[in-house]
Amino acid sequence: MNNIWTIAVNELRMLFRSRTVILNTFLLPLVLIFLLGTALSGVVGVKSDESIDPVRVAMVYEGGQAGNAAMVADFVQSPELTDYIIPSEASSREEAENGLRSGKYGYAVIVPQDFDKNVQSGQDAQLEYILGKKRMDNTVAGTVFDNFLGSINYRQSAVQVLGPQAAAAALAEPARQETAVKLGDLNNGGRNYTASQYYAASMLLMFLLYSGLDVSGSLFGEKDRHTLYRISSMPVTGRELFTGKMLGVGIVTALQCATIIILSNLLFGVYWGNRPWLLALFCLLMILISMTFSVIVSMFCKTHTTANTVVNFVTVGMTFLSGGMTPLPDAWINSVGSFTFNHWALDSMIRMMLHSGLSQLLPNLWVLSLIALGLLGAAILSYRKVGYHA
Amino acid sequence: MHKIMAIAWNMVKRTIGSRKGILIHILVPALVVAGIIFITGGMEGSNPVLLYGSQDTGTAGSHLLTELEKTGGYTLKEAGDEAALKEAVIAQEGMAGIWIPADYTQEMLQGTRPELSLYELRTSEDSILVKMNIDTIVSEMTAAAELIQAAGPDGAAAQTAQFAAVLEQAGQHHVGSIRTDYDLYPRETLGVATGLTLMFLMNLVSSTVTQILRDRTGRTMMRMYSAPVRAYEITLGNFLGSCLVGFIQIFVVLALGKWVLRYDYEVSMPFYFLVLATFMLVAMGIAATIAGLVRNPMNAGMINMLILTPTCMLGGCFWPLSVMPDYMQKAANFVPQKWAIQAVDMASTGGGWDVLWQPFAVLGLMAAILLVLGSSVLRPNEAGIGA
Repeated sequence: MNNIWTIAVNELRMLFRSRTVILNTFLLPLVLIFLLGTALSGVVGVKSDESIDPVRVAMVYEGGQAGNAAMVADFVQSPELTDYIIPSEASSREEAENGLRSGKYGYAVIVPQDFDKNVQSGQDAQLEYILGKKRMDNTVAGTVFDNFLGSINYRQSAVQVLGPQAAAAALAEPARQETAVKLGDLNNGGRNYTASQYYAASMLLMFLLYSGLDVSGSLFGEKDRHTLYRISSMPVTGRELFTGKMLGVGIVTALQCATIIILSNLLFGVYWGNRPWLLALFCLLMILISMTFSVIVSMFCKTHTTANTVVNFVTVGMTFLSGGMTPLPDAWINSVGSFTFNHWALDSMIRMMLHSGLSQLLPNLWVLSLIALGLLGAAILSYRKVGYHA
Repeated sequence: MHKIMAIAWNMVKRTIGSRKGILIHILVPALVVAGIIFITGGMEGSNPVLLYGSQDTGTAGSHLLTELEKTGGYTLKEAGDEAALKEAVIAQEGMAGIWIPADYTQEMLQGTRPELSLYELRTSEDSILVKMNIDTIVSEMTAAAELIQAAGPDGAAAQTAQFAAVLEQAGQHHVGSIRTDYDLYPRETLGVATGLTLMFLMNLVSSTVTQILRDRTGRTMMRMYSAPVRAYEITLGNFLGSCLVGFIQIFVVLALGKWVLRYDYEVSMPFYFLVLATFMLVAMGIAATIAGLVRNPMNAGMINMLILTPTCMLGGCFWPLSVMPDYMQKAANFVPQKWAIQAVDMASTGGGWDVLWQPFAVLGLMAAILLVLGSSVLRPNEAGIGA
């Protein structure tokens, strides 16, 4: 027991002496949580107005004259639109299409000959849009014209139902754009939930998986430095050495986990839920899973680089597939995603943040425990079979 | 010259000369990148699921839902009452959920501007777009409700009927638009596919720099300097070898994506290769600079990670830059990933060299500065293992 402890303490000392390890385990996760939190917290507005470049829109009036469609012609000339679109008349559809392809125009709108007449008489009136080369331009110009057509559409409907006296009232009152949606609170009586909490949890899990790199680093480092020979000549059994090393890495990872949770709470106000003991249990299970997984990989890989590559790819791959990096389609998260370690822990962490009932957390706990048990068994078996020799 | 080639060739042989080398440095990463491209490419066709729940008995709620469905951007799925809706959002059955409260129509007719609730587990481009769509539809409905108050009949029942009639009429879209789409614009996922390729490329490039570092730690470099070769030959040889390995890696990744998975990169292959190759030089510069600062090869790899992930996030590898706040978009200018993605983006919208020179100039400059800084890796006398 004494030997195990000596080795574990030595392991801790070596890890803490290295500045890079400190930076990687304690600083990097906080930087990432900060980046994800601030980058994706801008819930409102895709872009602020001043950064939108106005789109050059080709207006094609079929029948040649803009006068036949005064409604549209007036609209595109209105001064409040100058920040969004620059209308310019094109003589024909062909010219507009060629202009779109060459990049002269960003968007094209084709106005049929009797657009105004049809709107006034309540018949079908449709503008044709031709989409251009830039996604952003298409969105901006499309929104501008859709809002215009939308308000005409509702006004025409109102006039048809209410009679002509509504037309005067409609012109007097332009539709106001106000926000009609409030962000709902997903919570069951806890604190406010924000989107950055999601990424805080996913990043924590990613770094718990990354701690597998410390395991392989510790196991292979001894071999690469040829110090394993020396240790073998000491009165230390292989099992003591192995347990001691795992204990050391485990303590560092647990410390890392606690630091991320506490500092993200203090610095960025990330709320981790109402069940701290259960949270700790889930974290311990994840640490166990990542360490045993890395042990299995280290046992079967010949070199440090190979082991690191495998651990790295599995970590990034699982974080990606569980939806922790970039939003994935819903179908993926609940099908392929459920084969990752992260999925189960992430789901339960979010539920704890949202104060879900215990009954919703238990299934995840069982699944994770099963995975951990399976991996632990496999790790012990592979250690028995392969062992840790110089 | 042949001495440079000998050093370069030795580098290639050591990295990817063995079966295992090919597996680790070429095949596995290529498969991972291809797999990611395949997944993101598949995202394009599928509509995100929008969950909803409604207790509104009037017409406004159902009108809103039909109009949302007509935009063609979402698949709507009913989720029952508000608690069930929340549960479904938490279980990630859809990208967001909207809840329409009871008496939504009545309140709208009385002019009190009722609010809908939007539930989301995290912000995404799709959920921002949903909000914008809902805002537009609701403001039109509110305007119609105000009209009825101003010019319509008296009495709540009559007003409700009129409102329903107006909405029904509007739902037929007599005034509307047709979209003609010649597919001139780049696909949404192209940026993410490029970004993830860049991320893995950065990871790969560090492998050759680790190789050089190992030479230094193992004192092989000292021996090299005692051989009849000049310092510049060693430098160029190592540089050329690293480039060669990188080019092979890029080529395999691209070939797999293009010809096996049939992913459409929307720009010509030589151009895409050029962008990635230029970016690779910058990535090599970064890896070499770090290696120059840190002595231990293993730590150098870890520091590389410390730089890699945050810069990828900032540079727009995982999401479009436009969703970030303004000051972060400005900070992104200092990150090479942003320029590489921008070059691909510009080229895919048909930009010529008159605009493309800019991202390439920035990338070139970054590469030059970093590679000069990084050439200190090749100083043989610092073989320290600590730190």
